[in-house]
Amino acid sequence: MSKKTAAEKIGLFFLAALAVGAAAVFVGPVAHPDAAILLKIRLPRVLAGLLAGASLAGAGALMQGVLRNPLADPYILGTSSGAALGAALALLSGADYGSPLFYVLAACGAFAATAASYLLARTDNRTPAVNLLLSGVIVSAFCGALILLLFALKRDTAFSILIFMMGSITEASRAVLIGAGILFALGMGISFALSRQLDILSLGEEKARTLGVNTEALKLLAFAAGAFLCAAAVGVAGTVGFVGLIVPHVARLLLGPAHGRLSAGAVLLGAAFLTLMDAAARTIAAPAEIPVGVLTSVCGAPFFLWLLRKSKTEYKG
Amino acid sequence: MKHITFLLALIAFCVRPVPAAQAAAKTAAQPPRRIISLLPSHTEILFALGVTGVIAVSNFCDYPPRKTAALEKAGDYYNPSIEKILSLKPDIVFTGNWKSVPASGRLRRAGINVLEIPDADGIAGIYENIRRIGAATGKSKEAANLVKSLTAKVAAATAKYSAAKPRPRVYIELDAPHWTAGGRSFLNETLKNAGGENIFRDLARPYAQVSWETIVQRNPDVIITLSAAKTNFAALPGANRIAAVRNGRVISSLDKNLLTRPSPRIHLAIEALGQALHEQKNRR
Repeated sequence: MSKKTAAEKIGLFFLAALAVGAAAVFVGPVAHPDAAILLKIRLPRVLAGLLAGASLAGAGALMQGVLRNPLADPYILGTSSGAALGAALALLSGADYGSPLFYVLAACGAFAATAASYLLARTDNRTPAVNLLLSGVIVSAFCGALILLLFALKRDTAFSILIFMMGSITEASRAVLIGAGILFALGMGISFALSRQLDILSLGEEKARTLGVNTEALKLLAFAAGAFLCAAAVGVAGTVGFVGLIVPHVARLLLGPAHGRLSAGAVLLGAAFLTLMDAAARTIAAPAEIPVGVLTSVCGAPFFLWLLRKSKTEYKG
Repeated sequence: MKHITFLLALIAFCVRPVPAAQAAAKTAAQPPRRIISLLPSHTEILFALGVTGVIAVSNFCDYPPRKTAALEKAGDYYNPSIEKILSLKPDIVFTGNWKSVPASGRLRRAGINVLEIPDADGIAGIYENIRRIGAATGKSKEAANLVKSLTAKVAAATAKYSAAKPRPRVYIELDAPHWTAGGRSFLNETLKNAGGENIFRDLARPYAQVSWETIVQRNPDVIITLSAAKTNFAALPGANRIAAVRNGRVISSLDKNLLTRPSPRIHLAIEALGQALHEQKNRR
């Protein structure tokens, strides 16, 4: 396997994502679905899973790169709590679960929390990575506290918000899928465009600056792209955990640390992984469903440990 | 040695539920005069029995509305306000007994006389709870009468709807998205008595999240949503394959508390559900 070039591996991942996506259309709680169920319900759900998985892994790769921290994930800047708060506010204001307003507010929450973390971390026209991590934790905790406050004041929607927070891919309408697709394309477009600069940044912030990288502009663009990707994922899947943390590491172990191919690999692996998990989530206990976010964590952690032990090369965060 | 005395003290402390038993024995002779209820269904039973000594209820107790609104609120079943309850000096506190909720242990440690009565999981359980609450409040005779009259009312409501043909196939949404009641839930029995058929009565768990494609495939005649956060069913992919959506039979006007609470108003729940299911006038 180590003899293959990165391009060949990425090609394999692409085929894997395609195969998982195609196979997943035929896996579900209804044993013998007719064409309409396959096309109108199963297919959009598989597409949503591919899109969410790709977005989360892409965002994770980007955040780990720009913050130069192996524990960074797409939600590191409070993004998921912000999204959940937006969703909670949408439900409290009477919007339907899964209505356009619901998604718009969840996405706005994701953006607002990311922006707040960024602005909080900014001192003397600089945004040191440590400040960012701290402000992310604080914004996250604050949004979480506000959600709990809303629970306490109005308990009857608490359960719906909890399902959203556990992460659960729902059947998205075409408009939501297209919206999420556009956000994904924007986010990944920016991410790939930043590849070279992110590679230079991995040498250290000081060095990158002396090599002519505008690190502040780089961070701002990366966070904007991360927020686009998170909004895309949260919109179709709620706040699924783990994918955005682990999949980029898997891609790094298989493809090396260069941001461009790492991101490409992460996006494909993330899409395949979440789609596979969602197929299991809707089938194992059918007709009941298991929140997919629970499955991604349960299956992802042991796999990651196995991969980490198996890889002979020294792990580079 | 010190350890042994400590251990003995600990054992003595742990074996203390004796006072509760003593108190229960005492109530047989002398009914409690200061009562607190932490479960909405227990509160409804207390008032249906004509118990006069209720001094405080939980934050969720809202029926009968006029009486509960006037009473002190003592926190709720998950998180009772021990301070408030102690200050009210109750003779007895009625609560549930969920294993995951440590509330009654906390109350007992504070020296409060607690009677745990589990929330009923079926109509027979409601009768059982009425008898137990009656026995604990010196209203055994009233309890027997209430059970008798309630049994008759339930039978009447059930007779009115359960034989109706055709039996509509019903999907119940308790919480968006797609959290429903299975065959072992309290709601399933009410639905059956109201002449409906739960499309998810085969679920192994009483409550679970189900997938949209299964709902579409099982094609309910009626959708009843009790969720505070609503799902816009008509906007979901493939919704036009569902008879309930095509025929405008998505009902969101029913009272969640009435339908999901194992209370002495269960006949009204059957009546409300039966009416919603069988009256051909479309309701939204």
